[in-house]
Amino acid sequence: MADTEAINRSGGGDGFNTILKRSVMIQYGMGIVALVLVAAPLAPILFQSFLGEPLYEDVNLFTLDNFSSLFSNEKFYRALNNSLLLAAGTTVIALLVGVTTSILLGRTNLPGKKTLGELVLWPMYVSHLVLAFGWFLMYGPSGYVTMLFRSWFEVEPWNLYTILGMAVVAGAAQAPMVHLFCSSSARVADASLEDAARTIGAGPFTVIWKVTIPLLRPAIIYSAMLNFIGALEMLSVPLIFGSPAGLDFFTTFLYIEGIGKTNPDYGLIGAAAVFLLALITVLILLQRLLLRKADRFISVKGKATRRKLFDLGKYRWPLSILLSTYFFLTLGIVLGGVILRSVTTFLTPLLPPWELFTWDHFALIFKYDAYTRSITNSIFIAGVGAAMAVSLVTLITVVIHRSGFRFRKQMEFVALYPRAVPGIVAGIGFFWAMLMFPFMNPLYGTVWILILAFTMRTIPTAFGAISPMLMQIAKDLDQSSRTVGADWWTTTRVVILPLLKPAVFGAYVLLFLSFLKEYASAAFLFAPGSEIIGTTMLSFWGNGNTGAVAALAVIQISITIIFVTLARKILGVKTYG
Amino acid sequence: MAKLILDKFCKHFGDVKAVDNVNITVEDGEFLTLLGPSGCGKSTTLFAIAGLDHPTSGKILLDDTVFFDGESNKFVEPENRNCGLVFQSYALWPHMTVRQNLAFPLDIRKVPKAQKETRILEALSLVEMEQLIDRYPHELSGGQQQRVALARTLVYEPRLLLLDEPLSNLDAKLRIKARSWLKNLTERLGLTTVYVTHDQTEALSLSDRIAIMDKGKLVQLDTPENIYRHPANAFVADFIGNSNFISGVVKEKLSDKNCVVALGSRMVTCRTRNNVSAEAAVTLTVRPENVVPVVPGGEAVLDGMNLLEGRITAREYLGARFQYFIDLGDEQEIRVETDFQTDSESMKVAFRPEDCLAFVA
Repeated sequence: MADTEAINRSGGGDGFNTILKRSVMIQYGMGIVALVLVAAPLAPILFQSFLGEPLYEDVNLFTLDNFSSLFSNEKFYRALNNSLLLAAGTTVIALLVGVTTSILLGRTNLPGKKTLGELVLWPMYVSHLVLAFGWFLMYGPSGYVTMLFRSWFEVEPWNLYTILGMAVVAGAAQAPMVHLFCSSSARVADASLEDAARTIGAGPFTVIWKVTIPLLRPAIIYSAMLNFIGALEMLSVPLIFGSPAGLDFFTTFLYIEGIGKTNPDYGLIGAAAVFLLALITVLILLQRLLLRKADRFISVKGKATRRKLFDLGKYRWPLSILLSTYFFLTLGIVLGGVILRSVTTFLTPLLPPWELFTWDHFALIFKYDAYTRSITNSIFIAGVGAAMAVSLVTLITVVIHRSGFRFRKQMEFVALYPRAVPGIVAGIGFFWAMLMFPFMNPLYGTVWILILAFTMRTIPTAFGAISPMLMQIAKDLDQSSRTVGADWWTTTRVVILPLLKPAVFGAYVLLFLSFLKEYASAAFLFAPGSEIIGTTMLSFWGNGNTGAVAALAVIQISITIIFVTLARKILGVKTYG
Repeated sequence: MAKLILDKFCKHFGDVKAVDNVNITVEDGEFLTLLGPSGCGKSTTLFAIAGLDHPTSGKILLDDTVFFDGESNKFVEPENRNCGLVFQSYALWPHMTVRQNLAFPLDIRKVPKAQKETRILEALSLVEMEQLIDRYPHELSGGQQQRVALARTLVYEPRLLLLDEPLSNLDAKLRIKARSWLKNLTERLGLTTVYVTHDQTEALSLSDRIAIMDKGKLVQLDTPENIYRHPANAFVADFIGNSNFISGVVKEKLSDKNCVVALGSRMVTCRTRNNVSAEAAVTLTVRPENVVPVVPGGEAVLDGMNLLEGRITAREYLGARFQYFIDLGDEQEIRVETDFQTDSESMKVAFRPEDCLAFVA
């Protein structure tokens, strides 16, 4: 009886047709969603860059004027020059710090490396806006530490209002990324190569310099490019340190042209955004080209071998102290300053902080609905929005890696392209999309447009977090499910997704944190009612209310700590490897 | 009621012909083995039957159901073929218990609950695994996993049983046990079965017929006995069992099936498959166990047999038997497997013309 039933199924009756359609429809659906989500902000920008009038006007004439006025704009060249210099400086500093920490903490017998290893990733949890703000409070021209230094030594110390100063701030914030890539690459590198160098008589430092670091080359190239791009699209540091010093950067140029002006030049902004997109796209292509070559030179075996730790000898303690000092200066003082500022009327080394103690900044935030709402909105967006984003990207990832979908190669390209889209460009793009497409109008002023924009920005992150685990699930498992009679969608639900759970949780934690931290794309998209912590911090900053910025920063950090702790306990997710 | 037909089946990757123009008919209830070295296309063929691989051209039919037709571009998705495929890795879903693994195919077929339970237990009792029904796959040994994998394919009564080297992950002893157990089971169920392996012993002992593949082509399709006795070419002779390979030149044709071959100055009578012509360079194959040493006083029984003599260059003790390597001169060598033990330096050996096959070199 069951046999005839089964024969009917394989015969290709009506039932089989609908089942076939279901899988194909879901695959096409995911492909279209990914495409629309990525194209939604890009299409209006591209369109606008060739228009003489703002894109919401009825009369639209195509022109190249925007580009010619951009390329004849002196400010544009200054901004481009400054942005490239800052990106280069940031990359060099982040690489120096990141490679050093990854080797010292991962490969040597440095005392206290366990505690330091916990600290090293902290800048990744904290918004760059908060970090930059902390640096400003402590090391800025009238910062706490700056003033102390001045009164002790009676000389003018550093100046953060320079490109080098800003590169230090941004470099310290981005170093953990280098650390992550280099550590994981060092973990799979063949240990016998180092042992071989030892046996021919090289000392530990020679081995590190001549063998270990060259082996990290692909990771270094990869993270260098990521850093360079990250610094190019960074808004926080240029905004906090560049604007007061009159230094123009690409992102601040877009930010001020787009938000600061009552009558923004749409065409110019469009052209500038397209230029930035093109620049980063070229960099990403270059990165792929470089890595393809690098792969040929470097042999990395998948098999992890037991690694010997380098003995630092007499340098053990000095290096440990040096590294601890670095963390104290770049993390302890910076975050400590933010916390201190949040509970004082103002910050000065001339008076002891307890005499200036106040809860006013927190009281201010909880007094006004708009401020409180920015916190609840942030929690909602991070909690619910990130969950939705992860669900979507999980399905996209499964379609890309595990389906017979015809366009999955193209879909992978689409899913990874948002890497080239800076937050501020995504923000402008989604804002214009609402102006251009009437059906998107209802999203204006809601948190949903923010969730859409954040989702689009983080597709590559989630894709990158889920893909490795998906590729480790043997193809046999879904093939066997197909042969016993399950269609693609049932297979995905019953076999793949349950096995993928750990990676999906990991991706959720990552996205929660980035949704909580995001501010650049939100700056263009929020409206009364849809404020988030980042945008409220930006407007406090604009009004010079640094106490309130600090209080919000403390709240954001607290949410992060609570969430990361809960995630470890409940979901069992270890953030960042 | 399941007869599988592969008709001009091809799978090409650009210029690489993974499987080229293969025609096989598997009769209802037959156990057919696809045998060949790795990369010969046997797994590709099996996966194409299951629908997991998209052929380039040709036709795949099960009775009158078209699974694939290159001309009309018809392709039935794997889930609609109702085939049972046992993977080399077993592919048990690690997050499901044995019961859940077996229940999944029944759930898809919307089998009522009461009936489901009985069918799961039936399938597990076939493979003698009822007592481990609530275990997870990682709590089972390799042999147990293999049985569960088989039960999972049997539970929904597939029309066709496909086995992809299911015994290769078991240790040698268990493999022999599982082999006879599998043979019994398939005979009892009478399922049409296609079995893929690179292990000739498995193929010889399990199959009704064997299809030998090499470099994407079907080389020989016949019963195990015929393949062993009458290999179609030197590749089959080498792949199935052990063979001596001796090169020579055809001296004289006795008939379409018999000829005399010159090995240097010595003449050997042998069979031939391909219609060889005189003066053609050929390879002689003869299995070591068909070569007998000529013991003093035993010449009488050698009537009509080929005789060769040479120096013993090496001897190996194989446990039950001995193997001698005999140098025939002209860089030719013949291996002899026998229970006869000798210390002498040279040996005279004999083999029957019908045990010796000549292929065009």
